[in-house]
Amino acid sequence: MKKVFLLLGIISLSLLAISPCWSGGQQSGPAAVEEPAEPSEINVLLMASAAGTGLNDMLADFESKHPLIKVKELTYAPAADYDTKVELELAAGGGAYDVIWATGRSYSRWALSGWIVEIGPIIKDPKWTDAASFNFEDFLGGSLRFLDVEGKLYALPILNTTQVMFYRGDIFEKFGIAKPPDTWDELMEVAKKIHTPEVGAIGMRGSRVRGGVMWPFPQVLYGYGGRIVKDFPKDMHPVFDSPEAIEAAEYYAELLQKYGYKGTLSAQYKDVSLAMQQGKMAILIDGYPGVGPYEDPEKSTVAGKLRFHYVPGGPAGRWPAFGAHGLAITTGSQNKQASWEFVKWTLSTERQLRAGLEKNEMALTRKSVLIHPEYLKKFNYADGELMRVLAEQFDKQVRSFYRPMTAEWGEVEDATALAMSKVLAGEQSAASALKEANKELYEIYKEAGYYKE
Amino acid sequence: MRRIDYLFLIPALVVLVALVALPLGQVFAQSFTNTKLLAASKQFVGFANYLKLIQDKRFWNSVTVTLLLASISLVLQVSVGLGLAIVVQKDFVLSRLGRSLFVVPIVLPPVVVAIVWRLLFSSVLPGINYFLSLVGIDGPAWFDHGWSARFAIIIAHAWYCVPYVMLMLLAGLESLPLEPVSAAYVDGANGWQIFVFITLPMLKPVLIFTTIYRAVQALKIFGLVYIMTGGGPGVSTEPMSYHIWRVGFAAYKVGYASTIAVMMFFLILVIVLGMGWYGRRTGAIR
Amino acid sequence: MYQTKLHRAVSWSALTIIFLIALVVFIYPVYWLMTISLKTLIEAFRTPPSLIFIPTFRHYVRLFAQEKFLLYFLNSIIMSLGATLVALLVGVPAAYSLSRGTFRGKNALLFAILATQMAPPILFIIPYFTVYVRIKLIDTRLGMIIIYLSFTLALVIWSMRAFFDDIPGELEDAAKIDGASDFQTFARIIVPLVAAGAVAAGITSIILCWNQFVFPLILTRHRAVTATVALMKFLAAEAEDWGLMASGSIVLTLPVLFFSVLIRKFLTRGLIAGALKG
Repeated sequence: MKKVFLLLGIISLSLLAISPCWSGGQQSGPAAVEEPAEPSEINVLLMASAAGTGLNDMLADFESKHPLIKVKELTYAPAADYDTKVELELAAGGGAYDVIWATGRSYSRWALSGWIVEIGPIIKDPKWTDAASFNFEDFLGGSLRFLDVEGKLYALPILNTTQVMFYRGDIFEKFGIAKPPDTWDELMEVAKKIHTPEVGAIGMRGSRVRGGVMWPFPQVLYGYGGRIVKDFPKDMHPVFDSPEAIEAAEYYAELLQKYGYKGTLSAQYKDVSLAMQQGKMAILIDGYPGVGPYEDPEKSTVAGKLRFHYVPGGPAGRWPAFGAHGLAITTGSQNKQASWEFVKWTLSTERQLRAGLEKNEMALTRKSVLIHPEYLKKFNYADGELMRVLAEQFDKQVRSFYRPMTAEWGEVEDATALAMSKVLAGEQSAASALKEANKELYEIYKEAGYYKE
Repeated sequence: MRRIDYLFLIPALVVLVALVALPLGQVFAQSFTNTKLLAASKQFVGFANYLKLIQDKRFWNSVTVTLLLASISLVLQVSVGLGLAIVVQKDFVLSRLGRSLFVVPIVLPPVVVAIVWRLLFSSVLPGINYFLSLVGIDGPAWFDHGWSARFAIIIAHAWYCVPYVMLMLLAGLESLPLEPVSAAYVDGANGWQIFVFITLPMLKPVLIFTTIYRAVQALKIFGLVYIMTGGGPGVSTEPMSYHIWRVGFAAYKVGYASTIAVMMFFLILVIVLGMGWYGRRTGAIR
Repeated sequence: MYQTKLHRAVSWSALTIIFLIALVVFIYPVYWLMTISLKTLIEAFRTPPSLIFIPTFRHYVRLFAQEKFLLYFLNSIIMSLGATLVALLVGVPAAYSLSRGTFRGKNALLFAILATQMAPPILFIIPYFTVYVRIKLIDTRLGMIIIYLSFTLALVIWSMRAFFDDIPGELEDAAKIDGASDFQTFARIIVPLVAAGAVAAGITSIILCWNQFVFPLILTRHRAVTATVALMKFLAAEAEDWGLMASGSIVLTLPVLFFSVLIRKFLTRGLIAGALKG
């Protein structure tokens, strides 16, 4: 008799446990996601950047939603050498951090080395993710495609960015320029007209460091029909010394040497940003999240004078820049479930909107935030012109491929940026510098095994 | 050797061997391999790396840049440092103030020094170019051209190192015996003669040692370049240590980077040996 | 001294002019940094720079509102002092032996010590990192002190040897005749004479440790992070915070400035006493 009761008890208990999974897609109550049953601690490492700032202040919100998960450490590491530091940590076993910021540059290498967890299965697993509230489709498609490595996803986007053309409405008016240029040739014409020694016509990055000239230059390169490699990712033979590439490099050099503000030839982001705030240039083509300081009257002398337009195109069309960074879970983490909860929370519409409104972050990654009325109201520069330009550019012009983001990209960027730097400084002709760089690219890809010859 | 020498020397040697000699040895061994950072395997390649190094144009460029930057900075450091030490040693009203104020640059972290000088050489901020404009000179865009970028780094580096030199030379000056100087005055020598023929020779040991030490530091210059120019424009400000960093940490070729490091080590060794030989010849070193 | 009044007046004024120029050259960059920390950005970077301004303290307020800034500060202090004290304790006697000792291979040893400083520190990071992870010294203050020792010790030995060299050997002979042991001679007689040099070497060592950036960047995670690394965070790639960077820099330099001024006072007093004795 006792045995029967026992058996019944076990059966009914197991029925109770299984039943939420049975109900499949339609769930009436709260999500069936399994919360970690015991208290767990996670360590988070982020890069000090334009997104994900000030999370320490918002942690109270996360911890109230997940009382058993404690974020033990949330550290921001400086951008310089971030990749190196993380790689050393990951290679040593990686357990020190559970959630890490994955830079666009190194992300594919970390994924292919097996250091970060594949996210795809986690998203599909109802025990980990409630599809409805997570709303995967809300993420910008371009960013997700950017984070695709051999068909798999290893991180979710926390920052995505593109470039726009900022221009001084007052200067254009002064020189009688009716509308902003749409092609690189038109830009050269306009620059010629408005350039003065005190206020240069144009500013774009020119430095050889990573995140320097090779952030804006590919826009010109592709606009002229040039490429870095022949056909990414199928044919990785470098074509950086093609006639189109040389033409693009010569254009870039001529534009900046003749009409650039003083100092643009070696400028990094912080330099063009400062120069724009000091009103030293009429046109700037650079990342849009930088607009905050430019429009801040306590920092910038040109606040309120800026207008916005698309990045110009060339004979081969428009190809505006695109970049993304992601949030990933390390393979060495002992608390993957808790980590996933943290990732979901950080990238949730609510948290990102809060970042936009409270921390002035613009490089957010969910459509629902980017079209949110409060967000639009806050970043209403030039009567919403920036937002309109961005919407159009993200929607119609941006392609998710902008640079060949393989594990070798770092070295490739170094070689190409060095060549451009030499051309800009007038030390070498575009033809010879690009040819040298191309040889180096060939060696890099060959050594990495993309081809035998 | 006295018993006390053993007691005094052994702890220091143990520390240095464990902390420096062993890793150095590992670097040396690694230079004969083609280890990649964080990769599982490594292969012994013998002298292949060294052969590659000899043909590496970029390496030889980095050697030239290193020697250029270090030598000019060193000359500035020692001359200005000595001058300031003398000025500050004299007993006049401002000297005490000088001692505290001239030391200020070394109080700043090198990162900050680099950033501040980067700002000072910027063409868009009221820095060097502003002061030049006050005397009618139109300053260049410092980081846009090779020669001006190098100049900027040398100035920033010398500025940062002068206080070190001044401190050492000041201590040296103050520990010199006074009798030879007063005797010379009695004999009718003037300030300049005393300085050149009496003070300077007595100061030689400290001077030479300080110079050698600063030379070694200068040849390793890295942080300033990293922040101010990133080695650019082109490779005009790329010294050896930056090349090593690039190869080892940016391109992950730790084996080859070790090779460059070994070469750099020997280069510095040769230079220091040369300075030491000169020091011994002029009787400054016993 | 036997100089004419004119001669003296000229040399005084020449001296003063040199002094003032040097003052401007060495102080202006720091002064400018301080103004950046006390002005709004738009004011700080205005050309021409405004000499008179109303300071704002918001950058400092924000600095201390940054979490853990005081912890990073404390870490820097502990690591710098620790590495310097050990370096002095181990290095001063070693330098003495290297100065006085007469044994074979002395010069070679000296040179070897200098040679240890000739390798670029960047390459040390990998062996240190892998070993530290294994013996769990990573992200610890002790671990950082040990690695700092790799350069402070050589610095102390190299500097102190020169100062020991300056002391004539007769002093020790006299002491020996009086019956003092080697150690007593060293501790009671010789060491006080090089106190000035030891202080100079010590200050240099502390500052060198205080300003380290690359080692703490890679070898610490959360607990042993130093103030210099924290400073770089304020200069993030996309969001420059010059005001915070400036205020952080100034706060970072205050203890070292204070410390070295204090030491200078001690030095001067010691020197006056020495001069009276000598």
